[in-house]
Amino acid sequence: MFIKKLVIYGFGKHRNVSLDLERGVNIVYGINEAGKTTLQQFILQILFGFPQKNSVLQRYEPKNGHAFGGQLHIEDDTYGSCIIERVAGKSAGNVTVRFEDGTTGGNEALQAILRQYDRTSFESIFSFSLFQLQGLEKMTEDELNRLLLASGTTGVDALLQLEKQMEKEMGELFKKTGRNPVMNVRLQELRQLEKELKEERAKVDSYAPKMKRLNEVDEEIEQLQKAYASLQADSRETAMHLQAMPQLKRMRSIENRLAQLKTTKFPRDGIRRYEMLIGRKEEAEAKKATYLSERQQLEKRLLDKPDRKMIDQMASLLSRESEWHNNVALRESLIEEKRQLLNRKHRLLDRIGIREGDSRLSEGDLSIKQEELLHEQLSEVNETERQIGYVKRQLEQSEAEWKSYEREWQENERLSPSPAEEEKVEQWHADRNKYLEAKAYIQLVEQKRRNVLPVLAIGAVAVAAAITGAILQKIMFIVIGVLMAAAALYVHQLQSKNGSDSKKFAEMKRLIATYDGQVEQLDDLFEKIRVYKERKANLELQLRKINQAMQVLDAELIALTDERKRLGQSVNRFFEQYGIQQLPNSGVVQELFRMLREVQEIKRDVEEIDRRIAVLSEKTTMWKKEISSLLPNEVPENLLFNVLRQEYTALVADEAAYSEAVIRFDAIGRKLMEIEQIAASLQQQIRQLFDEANADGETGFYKAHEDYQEYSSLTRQLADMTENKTCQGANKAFEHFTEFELEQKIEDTNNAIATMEEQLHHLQQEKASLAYETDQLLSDDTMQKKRQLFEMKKAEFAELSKRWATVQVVSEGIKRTMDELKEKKLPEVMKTAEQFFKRLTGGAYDTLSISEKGLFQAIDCTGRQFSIYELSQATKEQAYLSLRLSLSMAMEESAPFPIIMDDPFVHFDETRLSSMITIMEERKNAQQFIYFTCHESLKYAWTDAAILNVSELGNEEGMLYDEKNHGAPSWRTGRPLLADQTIDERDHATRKSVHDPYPAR
Amino acid sequence: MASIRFIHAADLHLDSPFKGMTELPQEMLEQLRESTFAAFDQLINYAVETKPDFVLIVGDVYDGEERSLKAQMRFQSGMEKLNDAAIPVFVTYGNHDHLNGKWTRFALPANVFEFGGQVEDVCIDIRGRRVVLHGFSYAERHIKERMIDSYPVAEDRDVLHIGLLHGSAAGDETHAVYAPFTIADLVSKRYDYWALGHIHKRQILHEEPMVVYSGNLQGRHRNERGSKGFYEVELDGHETKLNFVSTSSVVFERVEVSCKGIQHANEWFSACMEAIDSFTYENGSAIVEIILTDVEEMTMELFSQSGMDEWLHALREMAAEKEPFAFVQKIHIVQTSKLHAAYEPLVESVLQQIDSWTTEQWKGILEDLYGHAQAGRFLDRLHSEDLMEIRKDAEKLLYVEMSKLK
Repeated sequence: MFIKKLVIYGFGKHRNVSLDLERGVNIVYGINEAGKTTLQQFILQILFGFPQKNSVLQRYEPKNGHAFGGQLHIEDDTYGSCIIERVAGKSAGNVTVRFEDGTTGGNEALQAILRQYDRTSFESIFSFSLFQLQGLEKMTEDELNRLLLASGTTGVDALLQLEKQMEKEMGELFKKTGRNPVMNVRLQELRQLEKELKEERAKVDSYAPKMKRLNEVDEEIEQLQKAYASLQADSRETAMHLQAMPQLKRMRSIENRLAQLKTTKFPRDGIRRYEMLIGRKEEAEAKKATYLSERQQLEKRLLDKPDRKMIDQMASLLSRESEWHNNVALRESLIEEKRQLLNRKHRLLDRIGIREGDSRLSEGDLSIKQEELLHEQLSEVNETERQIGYVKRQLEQSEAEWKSYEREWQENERLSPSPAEEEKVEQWHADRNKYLEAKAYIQLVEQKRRNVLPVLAIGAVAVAAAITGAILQKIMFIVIGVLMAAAALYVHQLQSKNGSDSKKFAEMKRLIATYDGQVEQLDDLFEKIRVYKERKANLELQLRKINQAMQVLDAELIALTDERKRLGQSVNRFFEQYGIQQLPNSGVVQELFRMLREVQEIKRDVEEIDRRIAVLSEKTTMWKKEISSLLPNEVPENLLFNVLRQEYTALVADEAAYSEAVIRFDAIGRKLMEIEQIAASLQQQIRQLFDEANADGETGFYKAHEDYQEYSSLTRQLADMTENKTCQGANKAFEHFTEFELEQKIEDTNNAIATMEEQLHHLQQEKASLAYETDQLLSDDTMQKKRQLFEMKKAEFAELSKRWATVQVVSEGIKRTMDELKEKKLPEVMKTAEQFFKRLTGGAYDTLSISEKGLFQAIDCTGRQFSIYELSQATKEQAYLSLRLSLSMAMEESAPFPIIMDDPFVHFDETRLSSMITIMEERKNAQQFIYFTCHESLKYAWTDAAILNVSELGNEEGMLYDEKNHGAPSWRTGRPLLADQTIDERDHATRKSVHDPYPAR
Repeated sequence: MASIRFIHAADLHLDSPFKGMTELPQEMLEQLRESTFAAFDQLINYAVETKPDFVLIVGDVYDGEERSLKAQMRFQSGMEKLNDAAIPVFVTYGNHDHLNGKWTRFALPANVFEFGGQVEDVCIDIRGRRVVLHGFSYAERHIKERMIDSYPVAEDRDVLHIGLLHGSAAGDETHAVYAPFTIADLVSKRYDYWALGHIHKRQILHEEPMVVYSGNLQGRHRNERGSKGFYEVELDGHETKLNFVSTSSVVFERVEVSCKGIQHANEWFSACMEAIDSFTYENGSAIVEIILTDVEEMTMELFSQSGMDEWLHALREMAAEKEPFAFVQKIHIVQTSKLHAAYEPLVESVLQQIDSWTTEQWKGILEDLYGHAQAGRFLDRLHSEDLMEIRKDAEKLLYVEMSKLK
């Protein structure tokens, strides 16, 4: 870097000054107070800032309020052409850096251009005065280092301090073998975590083996379980076999017995069937015997066969039995009828009054003519009779009147006193008592008869007729009955009319009645005595009158009666021709005729009856004869049919029995055949049974049965045993073992089982724990958590590591920087300085070195050592100058700054000055030198240097006068190293601007 | 011809631990830990809902040997769900779940086709459209050879060819190179679609034909930034439609916060919270690195009042109250200017010294820790970028500390 131009706006005494500088050596000359120092300060302050107002350093603010600050035009290898402008602003001033590309920058840009050098650092190497060169005796190695590092007085200290601090921090962070430093602790943690993680990973890694193991365990368990089950089964089987052994033995014995038994089959239900068959056979035989005997009997019976013809005859007779009975009954009824007819005839004849056997009647003409004749006669009779009846009725009327009077009279008479009474009674008795008695008697008898007899008769006849009718079922009998009843009634009537047997009785009755009445009359008599007389007369009169009338009537009656008699005689005659003695009542003539006719009829009827009876009797006789021929014994007629019927019944029964016997006989024959067949079949069945049982007889059969019973029982037992599995568990494999052996075997097996159980238990536990563990593993987040934690710790560790690395780098950087200083840069600097020093001192001094105490020392050509303070003033200055030059050379790269010197060569002698100038001349291409001096002589000490006269600046403000008087060739020759055209052009441009006031201003 | 529709996913890294997470509160950590599953579940649910013709999973289902049983179970159950939905799944295993692993393998349902150790062609029929899938699974952890050479060149143009390849482009040094290929290699196979896995950053390497990294389903650390997910691809032989479906339930991202004009703490906090809120509003739960830009001196002065750690903690506390959660992992300050410090040349010297170190020297310097038998194991190999970062940190440290010491 070099400063091309200074443009001062206002700085100290300078106003609007512009000053061009050369790349090489610039001699800024000025007398005292010319403003050299101001100019130097301008450069420093523009670069490093105006001092703080309270600073010891002087501020060059223009007193007249002129613009403060200015520009430095520089040329830098790195940054190119730049204009650094600093004007008043903040205390340090406001900086603007204008780069050649037009960009601007501020403080930072300036800092960059200044390679971060601060003023102190800068001054300690690049800017110095004579005074500052005299400080070498205080210079130590450290000081030199500081210089070398441009670190001012405290810089290296600070750096070293920082280094120590870094070391400390590093120590706190990490120690290779430490335990307590943070990172070591973290490392432990990490390692622990890593370990844990490894464990976790192992856990997770154990998943697959665990799963595998789980499967294996499962398989093992399965296999074990199988083996276990098989063992258990084995044990069980053995135990069961053991248990089943007695049963097994029994089975075996049964089996043996069964093998012995030959009978292995027997008809089912054989014995029962056999016995049934036997029973049935016996039964059949018994039946057969019965049948045989019965047949014998029947055979006998069948010898006596009943006569069919006789039976038929009997049957036909019997079939006509009713006829027979009818004949008998008829005959009897005819006899009865005849008897009745005869009776009736008797009665009729009696009534008619004809004797029996009178033939007149039976031959008499009973024609209608005769009857009419009779009727005529009879009507005459009747007329007469009627007349007589009339008269009689009148007479009777009179008589009734008379009687009533008579009764009145008698009543009256009863009232008469007793003698009279008697008289009267006798009188009354004589007149009337008999009549009355008779009448009363008749009345009484009639009453009696009517009451009893007809009823009885009619009842008897009716009953008889009814019975007969019922029996004979013939109306005729009923008629006959009726007729008979009528006849009887008639007869009875006649009897009762003519009856006189009862008169006595009646009379007795009357007497008793009279006697009774007399008693009463006697009682009344007294009562009626009073009225008796007067009434007697009256009554007698009346009675007379009536008597007279009655006489008349009697006469008439007599006449009539005569007439009647005549007529009657005529009629009698008529009747006589019929044999009728007594003349019947004229009223009954018609009846008589009828009766006569009836008699004739009866006669004919009787004749007819007799004929019929004869026929009937003949028939009966015939029958009797016929029947008797059929009957073994003589039988009375009335029992004839009974016996016949009995006989017939017996015969029919006999015949039935016979035919039955025949049927029976046939049946028995069939049955016998059947039974024989049955018996044969039964026998056959028995045979079959025997055959089936393989027996030759009953005994064999029973034996076979027994055997079979045993066989089947055993078989059943065996079956039961099989079925009930009583021998279950019996195993053929064990059959050859003894009980003891089996027990031993069971024990062994059980031991094996126990072992296996234990194994199983272990396996199952393992499985459970594996299952749990794998399950846990699946859900276990620990590893990932730990990993995350691990990562975090790692990250933290990494951060710490980074911090450590940073600290380490810083520390190491410092260390190495220092080391490099010491071991490389410093020796180099020392060497260069030594060379410079050697040249400056003209070889008087050989070496410039640093003592063990860190202080500088010089060794002269003879090898003597001198401390700095032992050197002369000038030599000391030269040594320092050598050092500074060397330093600046060493820092050519990092701090390519111009060296600004404030008249430091004043103590130099000509030779040394010349050497110095030579060195500067040599260096001027690499480094800009700005040399401020007040010694005019020095202006010309350089062959090729730009001379700037500061004194002139103060005189002509705003103008810069290039004092350089070497002309262009020398100017040009000063730049042989710059081969670059561009730079030339730039320079040219820059130079052009030198003469123009700054455009911005 | 009918188009086919499928899902291209890769690098599930189920149950993978999240690297570089420090100081994450337990709650968030749990959510974060669940996020790979959540993302996977989203993939499965999306598939079940939209019923694609098939699903491709191009490697790295699990995060390597450290795969958890849970991860395998979840994967299996996810596959079962797809099986129930009758969606075929084609899986190639990658470097993280190669076939040579000793881990327990869970039996997968019948709908899952697992590619073998050699390049295989699987021919399937999608509604009468023949589709041939070409792919392979990693037979072992490291496949360095060019597997691409084993992929056949597609000849028949009426068939859709899809290549499944878990690997990285040759020359991409930022990732471990597996089954290297060049894009030209892939294109030369004349497939209709290349479904790539292994690189977690979603990217389309080539169009016509599409050569696509679907990226992983869920970002796992601060370098896997942005929304993650899978591609739903529609192919008809002429046109390829890609639809990115986000699945990440926690997003890693850098959030820039301009500090222009910020002079007071509350201003800074509200600027940060605003940036965080608007980010989580868009992206859900997030783990963010705050990048402070436009940091002026006055802001730096503000920060210098207390350590950056304190600022970070304070910001975390504020962010922790929010839902969806946001965790501020780091705060970066983008310095517009060089640091100023006392003894700058001195510091520069040191830095120069540091910059002069060769990689070997670096290693030597960091040997104590990184070469430490115990510690080294827990540290990732230092890459040049790591060194750069350390260098930067060192510089910062130097400046800061030197400033303090002045």
